[in-house]
Amino acid sequence: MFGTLLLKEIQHYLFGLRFQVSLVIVLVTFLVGSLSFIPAFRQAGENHMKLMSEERAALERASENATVVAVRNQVYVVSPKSNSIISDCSGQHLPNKIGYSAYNVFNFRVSHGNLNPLMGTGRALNWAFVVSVVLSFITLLFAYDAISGEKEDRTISLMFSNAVPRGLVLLSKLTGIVSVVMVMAVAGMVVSILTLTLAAVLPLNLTFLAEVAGFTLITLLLVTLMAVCGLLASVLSRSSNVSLLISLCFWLLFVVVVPNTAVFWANTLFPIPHADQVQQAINQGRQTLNEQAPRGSWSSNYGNPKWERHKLRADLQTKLLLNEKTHRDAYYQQMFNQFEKTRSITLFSPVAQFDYMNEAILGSGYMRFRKNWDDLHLFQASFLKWFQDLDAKDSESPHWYNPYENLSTTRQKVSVDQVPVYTEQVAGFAERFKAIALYLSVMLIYSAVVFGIVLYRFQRYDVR
Amino acid sequence: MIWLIAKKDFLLNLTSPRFIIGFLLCVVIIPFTMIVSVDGYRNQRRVYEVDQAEVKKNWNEIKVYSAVRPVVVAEPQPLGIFTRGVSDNMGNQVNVRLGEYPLFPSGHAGTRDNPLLNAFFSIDFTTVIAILMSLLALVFSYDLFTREREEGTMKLVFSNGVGRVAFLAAKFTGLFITLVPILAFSFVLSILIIVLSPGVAFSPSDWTGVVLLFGAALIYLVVFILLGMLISALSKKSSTAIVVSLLAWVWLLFLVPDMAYYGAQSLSKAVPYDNVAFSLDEVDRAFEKATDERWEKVQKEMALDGIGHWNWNGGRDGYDEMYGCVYETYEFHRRLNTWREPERLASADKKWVYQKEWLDGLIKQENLRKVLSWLSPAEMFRQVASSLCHTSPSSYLAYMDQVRRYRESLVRYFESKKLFESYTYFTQQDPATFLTIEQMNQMERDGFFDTQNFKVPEHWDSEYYKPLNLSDVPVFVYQQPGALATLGSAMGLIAALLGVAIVVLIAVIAAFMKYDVR
Repeated sequence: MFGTLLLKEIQHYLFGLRFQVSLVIVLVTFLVGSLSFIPAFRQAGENHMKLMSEERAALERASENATVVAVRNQVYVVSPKSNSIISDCSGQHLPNKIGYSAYNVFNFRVSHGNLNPLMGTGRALNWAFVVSVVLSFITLLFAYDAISGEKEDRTISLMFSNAVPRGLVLLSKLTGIVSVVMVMAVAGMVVSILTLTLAAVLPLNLTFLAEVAGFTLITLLLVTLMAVCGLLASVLSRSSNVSLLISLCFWLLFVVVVPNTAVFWANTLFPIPHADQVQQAINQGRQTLNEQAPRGSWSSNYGNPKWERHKLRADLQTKLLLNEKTHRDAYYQQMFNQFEKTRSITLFSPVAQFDYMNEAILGSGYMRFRKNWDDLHLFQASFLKWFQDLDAKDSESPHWYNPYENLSTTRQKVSVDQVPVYTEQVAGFAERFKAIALYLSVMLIYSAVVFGIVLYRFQRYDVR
Repeated sequence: MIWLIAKKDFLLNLTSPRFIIGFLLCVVIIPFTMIVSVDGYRNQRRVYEVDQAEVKKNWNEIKVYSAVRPVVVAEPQPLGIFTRGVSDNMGNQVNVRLGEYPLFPSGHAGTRDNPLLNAFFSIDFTTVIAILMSLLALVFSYDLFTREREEGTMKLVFSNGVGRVAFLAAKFTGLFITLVPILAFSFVLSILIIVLSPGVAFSPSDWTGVVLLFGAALIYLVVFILLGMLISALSKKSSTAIVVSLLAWVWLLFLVPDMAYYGAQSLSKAVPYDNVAFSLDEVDRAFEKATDERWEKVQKEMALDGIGHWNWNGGRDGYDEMYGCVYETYEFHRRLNTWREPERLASADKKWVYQKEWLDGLIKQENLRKVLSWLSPAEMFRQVASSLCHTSPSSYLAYMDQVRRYRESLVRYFESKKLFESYTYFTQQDPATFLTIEQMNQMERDGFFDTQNFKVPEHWDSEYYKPLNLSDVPVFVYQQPGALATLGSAMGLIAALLGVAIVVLIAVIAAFMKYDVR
């Protein structure tokens, strides 16, 4: 019986106008998104290569003096990923540059260096955008009149004149909607993959296919949840007009209201100090250290590394670095906490759950940034150790470690190939699974609860 | 008769669930959006005041002319509460330097201390209005004709000798007077939040901007009402009309603007800024190399073994401040600066060639995006709004033009006063107290001072000197365009939006004239 009901539902949707118009919109969006991705990705790749070669040239210039290699402020730039066609996981809004030296990981920043500042910021037309904005909307559009519409047409009372269990009807409607929407999603993905493969920007390897499979799975979950929400709107009202309005409210709530209020909740519930207050605290510490420093701490004589006052200068600079590091690291931790807690609040929206799961599947977004940030701290320690070992071997060096200046440590030339270079480590399967588990559980529980409510309401729905 | 039908529709709409839900949506979404925007503005304002105080303090402590590098702090636009435009991409400060033309404001960008929060999608009042009012207009208008046809009331109306155009006008009026109160309520609510928020002050010109924004929103509302009417007039069934209306809404509101954005990026290539930065670095390196060579040359000319300093602070863009040095050192720096600072200006001109090329590319790309996004009335409305609220790209470009002109006036000031060739460019020590190397060594031997133990004359310390009187140095004053000029800049787009409304109106009339009412 379920098969018959499902077939009827699928046929009903497939031959309807909404399917045809929706399919065209979905395919066009996938196609335009893929076509715009091609030049953007190539440009980003070329630019990253150029950055790397400039960085290499800068390292070669610096390698004339090992201390310059250690103290120069390097910037790690996050490289573009081909799987960003699936989702960039807000990558363009998250920090993409991390400043570090052998002595410290200084800061992170969001660089829009290659985006046009006059153009605002568009939301990338990737698969995740199509699913979370367009397909979620279409799903509701398919589901809102699944029950109330049939009641208006009086077909539902006809159906129940046969001995059909209500739960089975509901399940067949849900499966029908999800199947039809997934057909559109998969068709769009196929169009996108074909376009990108023909343009030779996509490596069709196992990793990518696994990511596509993961994305398809969470798309299925999101579509199911949105369909359940649409059915809820349908069983909450006797009129399809009202069901439509309730569905639109759901969509606006999930796609517009919840993400839009995130900053409000962040500032209200989890406030952090203002950046200028932190800077003020750093400046105060700096002033105190300068006042307490012995006279001559700022003296320098480049021609004589072993000049006694260089030791004072190195001590002062180290203290200044620690002063800044203490304040900044604590502030960054507050930023991370604020961000993570705010994300927990936005989990109310299935679209947010979907985005965060994407992040775990693709190893991108905030997860990628945090991994780089933590890994760079580990790298910095080994970088400093490498420099200290090198310095220890130089009998000409006074070994007074100054974190900012080329004054009182080894000035020997160093081979570029010997210099440690940070390379990004991709998050492992276990890490990704750990990250996805929470969001997956939330979405499954969410779906089950809403479906339970729908079932409960539908059992009592007046079909007359 | 027109008014009778309009009144009937209006009263029916008022008691409909769509009106109640639409109204509730505005009640929930508008305050949240406004509170976030007002909070953001107040934070910007606070940062502005802190930065301005810091800049003023630093300015009042300047003791040498090489430190005269003004920092222009951009005052946040109160109207940015309504439309953020591209303000999130811009910083709040412009460093006016001799070695580089200012391009865009840098520093504290947008409204957030935590850059990670940028990952959360966030919209402003104008976008909320664009989303909600278009949605409500379509939800109210999609079944304007189809419902009457389905219920058979349309035949009845026309059997009473009502003309089709009159019927259309009545239907439009009924809907318009239903939705205008919601729009007006949204504006009143937002104005109330602004008025009740401490630290937010609107000038008469700002209030004029709000009124103009309301006018633009009215035109926008009309466009979507007419669009819904057109879809209704082209459909036979309400179920068809609603599907087409809502998919058109998603297309126009969410897809066209992003497609225009990425389309413009693909069709009009702009040089990545990193590439420009590399070119600028090359010019800088060439300048530094030439400076090093010049250093050696001057040193040779003066027959000096080395240049020693007692109390020397140096920094970016030619900042040098020194005290307690020997005459030879001062003279060396004076001669070096006489060559170096004009060379720095020439280097800035060389860099400007790359910067200008980049800027032109950005402007071309933005203009293309603007034109492509005119396919969406929502985007046209947002462009009008950002023009009226001084947060559009052209507002920032005009601002930066003024800052660059200010830099020119500053350069003229330096040149007219011959400051690059003077000692006051890098020290306040009286030339009469300059000692030659020989004199200095002799005096140290004679015990007049002991540099090893910091027993030196007090005029060797920078604390000994008072800050310079900089009252004659040009100061940047931003000339913001008045309400009329602002309206003029947005007039083209407002006219275009009206044009869209007229075209859709003609299409509605044409479609409805052929509408089968049976």
